[in-house]
Formats: sequence, structure tokens, C-alpha cells
Amino acid sequence: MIAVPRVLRTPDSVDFFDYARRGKLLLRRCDSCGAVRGPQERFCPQCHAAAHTMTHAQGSASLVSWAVVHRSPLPALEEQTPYTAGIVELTEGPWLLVRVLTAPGEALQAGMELEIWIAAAGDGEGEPLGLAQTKQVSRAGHRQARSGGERAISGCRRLPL
Amino acid sequence: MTTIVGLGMTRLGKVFGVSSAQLAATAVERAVQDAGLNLGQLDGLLVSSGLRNDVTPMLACDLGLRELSLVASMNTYGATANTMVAECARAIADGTATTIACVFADTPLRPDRRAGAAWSARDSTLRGYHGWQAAGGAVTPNVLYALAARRHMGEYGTTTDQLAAIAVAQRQWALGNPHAQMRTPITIEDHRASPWIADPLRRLDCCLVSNGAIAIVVTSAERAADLAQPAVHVWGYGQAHRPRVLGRDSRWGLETAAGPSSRRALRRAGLTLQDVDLVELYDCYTYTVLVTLEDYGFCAKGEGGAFVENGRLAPGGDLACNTGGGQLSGYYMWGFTPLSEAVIQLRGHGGDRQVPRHDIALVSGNGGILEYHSTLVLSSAAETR
Repeated sequence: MIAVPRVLRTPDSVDFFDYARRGKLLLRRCDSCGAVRGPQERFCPQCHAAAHTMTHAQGSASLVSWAVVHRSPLPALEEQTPYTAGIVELTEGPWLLVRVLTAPGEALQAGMELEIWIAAAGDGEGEPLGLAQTKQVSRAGHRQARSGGERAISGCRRLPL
Repeated sequence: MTTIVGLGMTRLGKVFGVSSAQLAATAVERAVQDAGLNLGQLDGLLVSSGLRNDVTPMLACDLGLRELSLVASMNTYGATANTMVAECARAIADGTATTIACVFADTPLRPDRRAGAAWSARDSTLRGYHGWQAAGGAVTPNVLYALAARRHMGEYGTTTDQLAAIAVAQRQWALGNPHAQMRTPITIEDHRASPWIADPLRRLDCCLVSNGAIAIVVTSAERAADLAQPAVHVWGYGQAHRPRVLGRDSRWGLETAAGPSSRRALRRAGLTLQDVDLVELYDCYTYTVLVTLEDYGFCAKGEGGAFVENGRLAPGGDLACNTGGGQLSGYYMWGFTPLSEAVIQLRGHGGDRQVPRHDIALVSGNGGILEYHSTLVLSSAAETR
């Protein structure tokens, strides 16, 4: 069961959450130099220009670092511990701080390929959550999908990309 | 030259029933008394808050100060104590003020909840993109410093036992510090048995949480000569900041701005690392000590793990480091933890933990998640070499 803590949108994050509700992770491509930056960055980290075109992540990433969290920093995640939180690098370049789903006993290492997806809250209310998962979890998920039934990491509905 | 002439500390740790502002006032009063001055002789006041963010320039009113020529609240996060001292040096040099109190106070501990809860996020605070990222659980310093430490482990082979060596050495120093909250010896085995907070960090890798206040009084070297305590002179100061870059090729977590910060401070002092007798490093986590030692140049990048092994940082080791137990075992007053211990050592007031050679101290401040950095070079001698 993956808890999806309630997150409130703010005036400066409306575009990000509109994308997320459609199952897409917003990125910004600089109109001046073409560098792709994260949704939170108002200015291009390469050339400092503001003008950009909205785009979205293709969904593949690699693992930069991870921590197995035993003492939850958030009340909503207290029943989830231990869980894995990570820094992942999207293929497009920006990093994401994100929950990482791993298979039981799976050893992690920097550079591992990951898949990124957006999960709707179980009750359909509130904003969706971003998740990363290892290839092993993806394969298990596909087996589950083939055996019928909607892919569900219990309680989360995957939004179609 | 600028000189630290007064040090005032309240009880530190589980101190309940008093506000941050009350503690701040007590610390300033004690620092002024310690210097052999009275409150009416202050013409400058710089205040710094912690987690509770509740110490304001109105402290001047609480202290009954009638007229001042410098008042400010400063915030460079964990780097603030040293940036305050640098601000004092500039204000005294340009005539803005002559006698300035700097104070930090915080009361994050509550009697009815565990210490770590002081740093927990609240679900109700999850807003916007940053809230969305936080909802994934990669949030708060414990997790973010764990992510930094894991990067270092992957890149350079650093081990948890090497982090343990830092915790064990600092606990040994704390045994000689009457202000220290943790005064029971620990071993590497104790560290291995310590519960995970965010793997690769165990509880014994994490700093304490403390209520309390610490203040210093700063004036010119000329005035210092007539005052009550051995003078602690500010020979150098520097700062450097690298806000977190979250993208490809980022060195965040592996390397910090401590390098340029310390080079600026040492250059201003006309010294090199070889001149330093003791180092007081900001140690919110064991890993912060390791990465700061590397970035300061005590060892090469990536060799911090091997450097801290075999008791090098412990009493009697090659490098006197965090000689009061630091934030891990002493008390957690942000940058005033390393700064206060440097003042105590340079005065020769370290008692059972006094370092035999104590002419030059290097003091670090670290804020954010290894993002904001400040350095001081302090000396018991008035003249630079």
C-alpha cells in the first residue's frame, strides 16, 4: 500500500499539477539554449533565461542515490517505513527527489535504470504522487498486468502516460 | 582587529518552561558579565534563530538597551554564527559599532515528544512542487544527508564504520565537557547497534536537539586588552555557498563550498592549514565532518573515510577536532556549538579536554543540506604572523 500524502497546489504550481493529473511530469525546455530543467526552476540553470516551452518527461531515469528511511519524517508515511527515498536523474537531465519502489531483497546501486510514473491517490481526491521503480518491479508489474486486472500497487492507480 | 571578549551560555538540552527570547536575554547578560562589561556598554546586537524562528531584534527591548548603532536578525542557516562574527568585524572596522553582542537561541524540544519530532515535516505543510517532492518521503535533513552520504559511499567507498569513528571520537571529547549532553562512552559496536534513522545514517550519526542559548560579545582588540577574559582574536573569515543543483553532473553531496570558504578565511589570516592547532566543525551529521575535512584539504577528496579512522580525531589523535563533543555529543546550538568551543579552547579554559597547543582554531559553519558555508580563523594572539 503506497500512501499518497495530501498535497495542495499553489498559484505557482498550477501548470505542474495540471500535467500531473494527466499522468505527465512537467519539464521546461529553455527557449534560448535548449537546456531542459525541472518544473520548479523559474530560470534556466545554464543560461539564466526565463522563457521556455513546456514539455514532459518520457519516464526513464537512473538512480543517483538512495536512503532507506526508518524514521518517517512525515506522519502520512509513518506506516510505510522502512521505505526507500531516492534522487533519480531523468533521461532528460533534471533530478527528482522521489519514492523508489524496489523488489523484496533487491540490491540497489547508483546508475540503475528506473521507470518513473505518476500515481493517483487511492480515493481519487488530492494531487497525484510521482514514483520511481526498478526494472525488477516493472517486470513484476507487467506479469500482474498480463494476469488480468488493472495494475495496482495496492491503493494507487497508475495514470496513463 | 576584532576580538571576542565575552561568552555566555544557558543550560543546554532539556531546558523547559522558558522561551527562546528569555534564554537569549540570559545568554547575552552572561556574555557581557563574562567580558567584564555591563549591558549599557553594548551598541550592537545581532540575533539568530533556530527551528522555532522566534528570536527577533525586539530582544534589544527585552534587554533594556536604550540606543544602539547596529541591530539585525541574521540568517545563513547553520552558517550564521560565523557570518555574524564577520559582520561584527566589518562594523567595528568601519566605525558602525564598538561593542556587539551576537546571540543564538532556540527551544525546539518539547517535554511530550521525541527529539527527532522537532525536525519532522507536517502533512499540512505539503504545498506546491516542493510539497509534492516531499510527499515522496525524500524530505527533512535526516533523509537528505543520508542521500549525500550514500553518494559518497558509492563514489569513494566510504563505510558506516568510518562514520562511526567520528561519532566515537567526539563522544570521547564530550566526556571532558561539563556542558555536554551525552557523556557515556560509545564504541564502534555501539554505533553498529544504533537504530537506522535513514540508512546509511544511524541515530549515532545524527546531532542532538537542544533547547538553550549562547551569546558572544565582540569588540576591538584595543578595548579587549582591558577586559576580563583572555582575548580571542578574529584573524580571518570567509564564506561560500552552493545552493543545491538538482540535475546532471551535479556534485551535490560529494563536494561542498567549504573549500573556497576556508581558503578565503585562511588567506585573510595569512595562514595555511599547517598552522591550525584545532578545528571545530559543524557536525549536524558525522558525514558533515568527513566531507568538510576533505573540502578544507586536511585530506584528498574521497579519502575522508580512511582519514578519520584509528582515532585520528579523538583525544590524543593527530587532529584535535570537535573537542567539546560537537553537536553529536555536546549540544546543538547550530554554528554557536563550534564557535563556543573554539573560544573556550583558545582561552585555555577547556579543563579536562583542553588541547595543549591552542593558538589557532579553524571554525566551520554549514547550513541547508551542505549548501551554505562559513569559516573563521581565530587566535589567542593579537598579531598575525
